[in-house]
Amino acid sequence: MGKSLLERLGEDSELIAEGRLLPRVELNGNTEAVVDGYKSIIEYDCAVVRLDCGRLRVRFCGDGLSIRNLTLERLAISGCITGVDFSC
Amino acid sequence: MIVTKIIRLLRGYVLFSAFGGFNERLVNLCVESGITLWDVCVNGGVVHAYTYASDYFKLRHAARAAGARIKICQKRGLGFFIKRHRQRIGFPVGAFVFILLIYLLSTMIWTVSIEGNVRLYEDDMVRLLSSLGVSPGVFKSHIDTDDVEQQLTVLLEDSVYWTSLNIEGSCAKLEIRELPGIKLKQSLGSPCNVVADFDGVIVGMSVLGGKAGVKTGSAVRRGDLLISGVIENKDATTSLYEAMGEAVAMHTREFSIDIYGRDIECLLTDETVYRVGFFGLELPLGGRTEDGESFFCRELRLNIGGVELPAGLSKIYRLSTQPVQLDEERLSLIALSEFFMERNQKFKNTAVISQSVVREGDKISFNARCLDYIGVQKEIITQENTDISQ
Repeated sequence: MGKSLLERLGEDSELIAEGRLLPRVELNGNTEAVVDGYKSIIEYDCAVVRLDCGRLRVRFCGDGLSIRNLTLERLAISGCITGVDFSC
Repeated sequence: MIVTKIIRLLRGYVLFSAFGGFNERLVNLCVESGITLWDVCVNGGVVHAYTYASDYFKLRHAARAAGARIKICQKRGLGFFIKRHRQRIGFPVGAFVFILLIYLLSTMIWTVSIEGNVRLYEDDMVRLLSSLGVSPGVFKSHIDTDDVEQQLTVLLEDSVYWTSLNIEGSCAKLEIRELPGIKLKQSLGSPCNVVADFDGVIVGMSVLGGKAGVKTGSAVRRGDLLISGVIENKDATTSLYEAMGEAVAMHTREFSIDIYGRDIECLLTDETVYRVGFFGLELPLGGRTEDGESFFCRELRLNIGGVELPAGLSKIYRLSTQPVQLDEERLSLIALSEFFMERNQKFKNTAVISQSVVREGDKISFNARCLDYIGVQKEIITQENTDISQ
């Protein structure tokens, strides 16, 4: 039997409180960004990479952006990153 | 990162481009399907990315679902390389021979080096080691370093007190420590003095046992006391010791060579023979050398970073002996070389600091100022010694 909505929300709030549901974004200068805990890529071209990270959406703006490493939960963006936006 | 690159090359990978459809959906589907992608970039709506060759077939399903068409741009890796060159049998054979050669050569001695020699000539030591079975081209496993060290210690007991043969990689390195001027191993072991062996002026002294009898700058005659083995104690008694040490003196040596009948000279001819040397093996490149002929050999060895490799080219000149009227300068040179040869044989520890050459008729005379080890041990005759000898 599946868990009720209330139970799931309760678990989520605990995870959020522990910081496990939020993505981990690491920036190395303005040339590389590593995102841990993303769910899918929403938008991708050489100027914008928009990621769905569950409760959060992250947008990387820049020039010549490319995805260097790509696994189920982690990706690394490289290129000239000019901005990181969480309000998208 | 290098390891990752090597793994990718071994597994084989392709660079593909995807046209049309949704780029994001294609990438997401690939990730969900477990297809490894790297260096994904978008140029003008075309996705370029790398993936393993084995994943490319799975990629086609994801591309179809994303409405994109995919095309391989580049194929890289071992599998593709072998497939491309499968008709060329020389490649695998060559690679096998290369690996075999590298393995074989790594089990051999490539170079022999000598360290710590001061008076002993490096060439002589290399020749001696070669006679004991340590030379370029010999398998490392065939060398018993302890045995060679023992044999060297016995053979060079007059001039060396410690030897160590180490095999470092493909280099046999012999380290030696030479005996000082006065051979301590042949020391008398009984009370003795060190006296002058010839006339000269002392230029340096090092006392290892006993008491110095002369100072630097003193002129001594043959038999004069240099280091005394008789030590006076504070209670006015005397003790006898074995005097030991080094004393270097400057003296003059005369040497003359008869030049009568020296009208035959060896000349290098234009006839040359080349040989390729490789690990002691010499392969002639045309021409022959017959027994009884005289040759002069010039070796050109391969050299990497100051290390001579056991491979190179030998240029062998035929020598012709014909009567030539030698001029005075050349006669002097021949006489000088003979002087040095004889000097090297008789006086290994002599250093010539100045020399003059005078020709008197058919004789060339040399007058050389040399530095030599002057001291020799001389036993102190005591009542006890006399009783034992009687």
